[in-house]
Amino acid sequence: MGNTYFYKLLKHNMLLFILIIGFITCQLIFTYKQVETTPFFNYGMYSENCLPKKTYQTIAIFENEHKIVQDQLPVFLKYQLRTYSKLIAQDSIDDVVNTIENRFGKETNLSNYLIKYLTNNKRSIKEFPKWVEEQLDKTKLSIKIEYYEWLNESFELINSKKLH
Amino acid sequence: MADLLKKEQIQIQKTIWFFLLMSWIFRWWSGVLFYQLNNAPFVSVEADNTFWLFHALQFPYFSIHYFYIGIILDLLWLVFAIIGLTIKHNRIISTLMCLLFINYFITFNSVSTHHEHILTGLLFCIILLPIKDHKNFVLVFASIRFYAVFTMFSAGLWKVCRGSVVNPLQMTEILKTQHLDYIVNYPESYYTNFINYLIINPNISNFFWHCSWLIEVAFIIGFLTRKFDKILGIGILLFFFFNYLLMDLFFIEFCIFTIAFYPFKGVWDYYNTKLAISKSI
Repeated sequence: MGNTYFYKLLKHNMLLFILIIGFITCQLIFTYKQVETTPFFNYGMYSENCLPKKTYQTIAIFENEHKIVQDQLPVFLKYQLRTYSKLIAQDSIDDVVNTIENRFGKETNLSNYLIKYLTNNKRSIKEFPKWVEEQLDKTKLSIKIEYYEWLNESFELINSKKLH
Repeated sequence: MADLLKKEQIQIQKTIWFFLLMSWIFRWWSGVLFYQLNNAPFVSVEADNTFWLFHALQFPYFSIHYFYIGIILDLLWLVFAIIGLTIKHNRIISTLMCLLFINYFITFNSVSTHHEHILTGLLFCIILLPIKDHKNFVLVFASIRFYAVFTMFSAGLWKVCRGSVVNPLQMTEILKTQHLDYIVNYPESYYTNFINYLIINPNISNFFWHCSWLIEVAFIIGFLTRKFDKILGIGILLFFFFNYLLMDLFFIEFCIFTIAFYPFKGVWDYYNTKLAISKSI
């Protein structure tokens, strides 16, 4: 017991001991609540149960109906594309807006300030296609969601929906 | 012992500076430095309170919406990494690097709109950079080793709690989601054939899934003893090598955690002897 890690911390650096005990306590709370607040992370590493889906979807960019292959796109642009599609599906409403209004009230100064800097608005959605064109140095791009089914040991395109 | 510890402390700190330099080059190549994220339309703060605070203080806003601020922050990262690698310990530069990296970590994850753990290894290891005192360095190094053990073991535990470890289709479904784009765009490639083979043979893909889970839960031993640290260090490298091979996830920056499992004689001798509490105390 005398030579355990915690005992050494306690004897040699009380401040570090308190910090680490505080860190462990917060980590346990956030793990229990299954949410993350930096630097208290939950390392699930694909632990969420994945069940077979009827359709698998991806977002594709087309230049004059010619598909731009996704692995030629910067990684963060792919994530931005997903957010674009999600916001359109949610009628341009960012989930965080509701959270802010629940916490700090509707139309308060603080809520308005936080909504401006923490959330995505309709203007961002409107400007997104132009930003993508600038990033890829291309014009006349269209963005589509493609729906695939896993049939006969391969993916088959069953539908697509134009977002822009 | 003190000389060896001093030498190893410098080696560890230089390794972290080297990772920071490599990370800068890798991120420049991937197009995700501040200036390359300029004017990204969307951010995602999720439920992370630290992200909320940083965005409320407008640090990410200034970093990505003002091109020249982005460029300056990128150049500072590069210059600090080069200085850190070449000169002796400098607490001011180390501390500034830590602050710069925290800002990058939050800004990048916000703009990715997907909070990744790829940079958490560096986020925790950079704490070692400003520390000069040997005793504090060894204590913090031991803490980071325990944290590295926690990251891997908790991943195994999550899979047990959520039941995915016994889900017979877990790996095949992950592969389908992860490689959909590649498979539909390159239907004839060798890699597509390899991934398709794993998808239509769940027993084989599950073998990889369970092996990775075994590596994760094996890290419980790291809480009890340091005898198997070399194996655990190799375990992390193997785990992320197969992550790259099967899932196309490139977690090289996370692998900085392997440094905590390297048998630094000076560090651990100091931990075992100089920091030992005699029974008379």
